[in-house]
Amino acid sequence: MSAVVAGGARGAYLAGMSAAVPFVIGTVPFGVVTGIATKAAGLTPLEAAAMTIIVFAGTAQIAALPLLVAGVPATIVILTAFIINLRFLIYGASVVPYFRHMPLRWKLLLGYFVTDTGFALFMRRVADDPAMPHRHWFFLGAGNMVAVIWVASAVLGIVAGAQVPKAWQLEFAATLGILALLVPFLRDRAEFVAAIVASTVALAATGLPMKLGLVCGALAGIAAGALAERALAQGRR
Amino acid sequence: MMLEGSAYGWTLWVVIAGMALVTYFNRAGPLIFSGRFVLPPSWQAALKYAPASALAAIAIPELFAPAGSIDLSLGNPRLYAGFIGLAVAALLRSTLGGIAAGMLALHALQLARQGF
Repeated sequence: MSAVVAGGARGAYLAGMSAAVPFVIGTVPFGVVTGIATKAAGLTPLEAAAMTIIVFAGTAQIAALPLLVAGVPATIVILTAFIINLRFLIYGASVVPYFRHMPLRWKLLLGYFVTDTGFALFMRRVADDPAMPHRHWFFLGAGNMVAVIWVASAVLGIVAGAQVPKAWQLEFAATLGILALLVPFLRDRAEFVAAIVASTVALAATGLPMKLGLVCGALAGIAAGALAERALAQGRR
Repeated sequence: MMLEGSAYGWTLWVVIAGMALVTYFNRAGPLIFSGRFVLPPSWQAALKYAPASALAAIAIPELFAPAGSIDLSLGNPRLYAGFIGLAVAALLRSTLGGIAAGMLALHALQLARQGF
């Protein structure tokens, strides 16, 4: 806090970086698993590293792997990543009030660093201090820390994954990772309904070409979640 | 210099570029178009359910129908291993614990079926 006042832009950047540390440590194991699973899906180390850095979205990456292995068309894999990362649209919309008056080059830069961790950190920080100076530097610092640790842990997994025999079937770790990511959502009733409807529809529609059942399932889940939320709110009233 | 690519060939680079593009659009779009583009509140509320829905729609068919058609038999160890992994992840509140338990269960079930 005092560092921000004292150090100006540089202080805010460093404050963002250090604020992110305890959170990114928790993402290291997931980064390593993502790296291992990406390698196990048959990508070369270079391809796996490029995917990690360019896409920079762990959940979408780990979700894309079983689809790649199954030979799903590129358009469906991309559409799936789009649906999973729709949450970033909410994050992006939430930080707009703080960065509306920034020059375009800053918006283009900050946009790349909208992540689950960075967003949560930033919103908590500005809630404490709405008039915080140099908050774009804080956001950038937190985002850079998230990116560096994420890429480093994934590369660790890619290197480790290259040593593992195929018989270990580590590509299944991607599916297990997705299931583990689902757990915190399932504690919320509306999210639980969304997940059940999405998987039921996706399963019922497995016969559809191009894994379109997956897209149908995801859209059905979104609608079901929204309806369940409304129904639950009415029930409480 | 030629670098050896994977069996996916150039399709993989299309996937990487496409995923990067749609992801960046989601992240930066609201900022870049700030003011000119406002997400209706009802959409914003519904989009909250996108991650859980997409994740479930990917993973659950991978368990029930790994080969394309629903298979509830013991010949499909991924079904049981997946739910063991899910249960352990929920009980221990640990992503890594869930993955480890699921992988162990997968191999244990396969060994058991081979009559080991």
